[in-house]
Amino acid sequence: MVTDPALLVLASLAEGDKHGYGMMLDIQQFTGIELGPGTLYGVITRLLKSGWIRPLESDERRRPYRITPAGRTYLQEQIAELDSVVKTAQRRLKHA
Amino acid sequence: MRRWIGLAAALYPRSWRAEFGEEFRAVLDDVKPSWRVFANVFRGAIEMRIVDGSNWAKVVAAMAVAGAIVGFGVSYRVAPMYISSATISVTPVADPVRPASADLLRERALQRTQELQTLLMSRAELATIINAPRLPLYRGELRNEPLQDVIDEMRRNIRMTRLPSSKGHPVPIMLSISFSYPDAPDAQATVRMLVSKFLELNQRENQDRNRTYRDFWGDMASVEHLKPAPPAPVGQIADVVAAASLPVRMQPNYFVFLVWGFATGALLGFLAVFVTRWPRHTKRVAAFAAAGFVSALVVSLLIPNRYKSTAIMMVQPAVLSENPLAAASSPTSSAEFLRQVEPEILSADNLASVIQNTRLNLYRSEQSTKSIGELVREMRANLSITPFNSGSAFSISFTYPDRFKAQQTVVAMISRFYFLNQEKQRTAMRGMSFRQRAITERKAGAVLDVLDLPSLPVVAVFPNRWMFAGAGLLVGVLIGAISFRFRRPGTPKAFREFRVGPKPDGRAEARPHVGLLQIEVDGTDYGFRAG
Repeated sequence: MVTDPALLVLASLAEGDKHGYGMMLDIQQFTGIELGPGTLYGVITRLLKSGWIRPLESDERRRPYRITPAGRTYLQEQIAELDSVVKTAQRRLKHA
Repeated sequence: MRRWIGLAAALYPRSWRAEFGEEFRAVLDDVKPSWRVFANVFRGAIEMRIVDGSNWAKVVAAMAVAGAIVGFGVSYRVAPMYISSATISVTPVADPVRPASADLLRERALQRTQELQTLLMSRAELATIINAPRLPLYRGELRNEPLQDVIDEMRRNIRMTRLPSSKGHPVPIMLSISFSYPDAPDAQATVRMLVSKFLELNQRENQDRNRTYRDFWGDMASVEHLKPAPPAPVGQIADVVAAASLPVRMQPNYFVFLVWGFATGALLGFLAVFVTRWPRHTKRVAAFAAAGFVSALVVSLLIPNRYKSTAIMMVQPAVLSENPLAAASSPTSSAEFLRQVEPEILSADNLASVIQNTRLNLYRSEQSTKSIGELVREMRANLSITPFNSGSAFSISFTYPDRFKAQQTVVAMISRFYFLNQEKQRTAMRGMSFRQRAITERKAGAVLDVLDLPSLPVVAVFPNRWMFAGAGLLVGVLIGAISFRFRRPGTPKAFREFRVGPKPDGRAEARPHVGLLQIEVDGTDYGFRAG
């Protein structure tokens, strides 16, 4: 199971824009992992600095975030790497 | 709980709160409050302060202060101790038949007090108190520890202090006995028992001396047809000046807890800063530390255990020091006795004879590879003779891989002490008249006494496995830290380029990340990643 919080946040935002609590609920739904608020905002801060997500204008207290093209590319790369690992493992299991 | 979480959220850096504070509070309003959420927010605040860069010193300071507060709080949770005290006086009786100077009387009273203190602290006496049906003490400890260790703990909790004598009155000797224990009634009952044992032991000492005195004079009268013996000396009077007091509640030392909490907090703060700012370095150091811990633990398991057996011997003052023939002689000094006998005990000849004792068969595996001189030196290093309680007693201890042999060796050493003592007396008696010899013989019979028989150790004194593992851990951390100096810089094998789009402000910048370099050329971001 993927447990890197940065990947989980990017994967959640890949579906569409979300605010913090929305991301927490979405991640819990598709992985079962309950990200704490401290962890989530630590990741959001890092992803913003890396330019992989950006905040959207909002009048509400809850500010939504959007994945940037750089973030999308990074996510695709990570998924490709994971996919390669999964495929290799599956192939080896078949031959074992 | 929401209040606590709000306080933890307030620990985030001001600049961070300005940017994310409002939405973060909105998320905190949505989540169900719990200690888990509090811990997560608190950890996030610490992490953010460290990532913030310039605030690591503040983090360490905050952690240290938090540690001190926790330490202070913990000190209130530690069970208090209760101390009960009593005061006893020891007075020498002025004897008109055997006049003695005031200094000598005081010296005798002092010696008797020390003697009784030593007897009271003996293993046998303390074991009787611990197992007294009305108390019994240290129930929890007795379930997990050998009796010897519990007795040692009780010795640490008993305090005997000589109180200063009033001006112009060197006697009686005033002695305060106190005992600290987590249970107030038990502390008071124990002091009562210690006091009654002290008085009882004093009475027994007086009776023993008087009996010996009367026997001696009876023998003298029948041999030399002397006139009837003068009355036996009364000895020393021990009395209770102040009975066991109501126990006083003693809180733990808050300052010690405060300092410990502060130091632990600061250490954790440094650790948190290191882990957050240098995660890869942390992994490397942690790997070395774990390797050091495990290796040291394995090495300690390969080292054979060593056990220590201990006995306590007491040097009694000469029984007949108060007889009229010997006049008012000064009491026998145990320190003087040790000074005379110890060199012979530790002599190469004596130790060689113990090593070569076929019943003990010490250093069996080393006898073929080492000379007897080397074995004697090794034995001398493992043997310890230490005077204590102002020299009225001394302990003999021996450390050896076999616990039974350790005990038997101490038994053999005690026999050597007895033998040498008798030899010393025989030499002194050469050329003496019958009467003088009879006196000296009585002195010889009473000079030496075994107070605590040689213990059969249960727990090994060496190696201390956790200390070994801790040292291994520290060495591992050190090697891990040094290893960074010799690490070769990693060179990427290949690069992949990808275009990530223009930056709105058109500012050129290069931001290194772990395995990733982003650079902007003509308003377009490019990323280079080690592939």
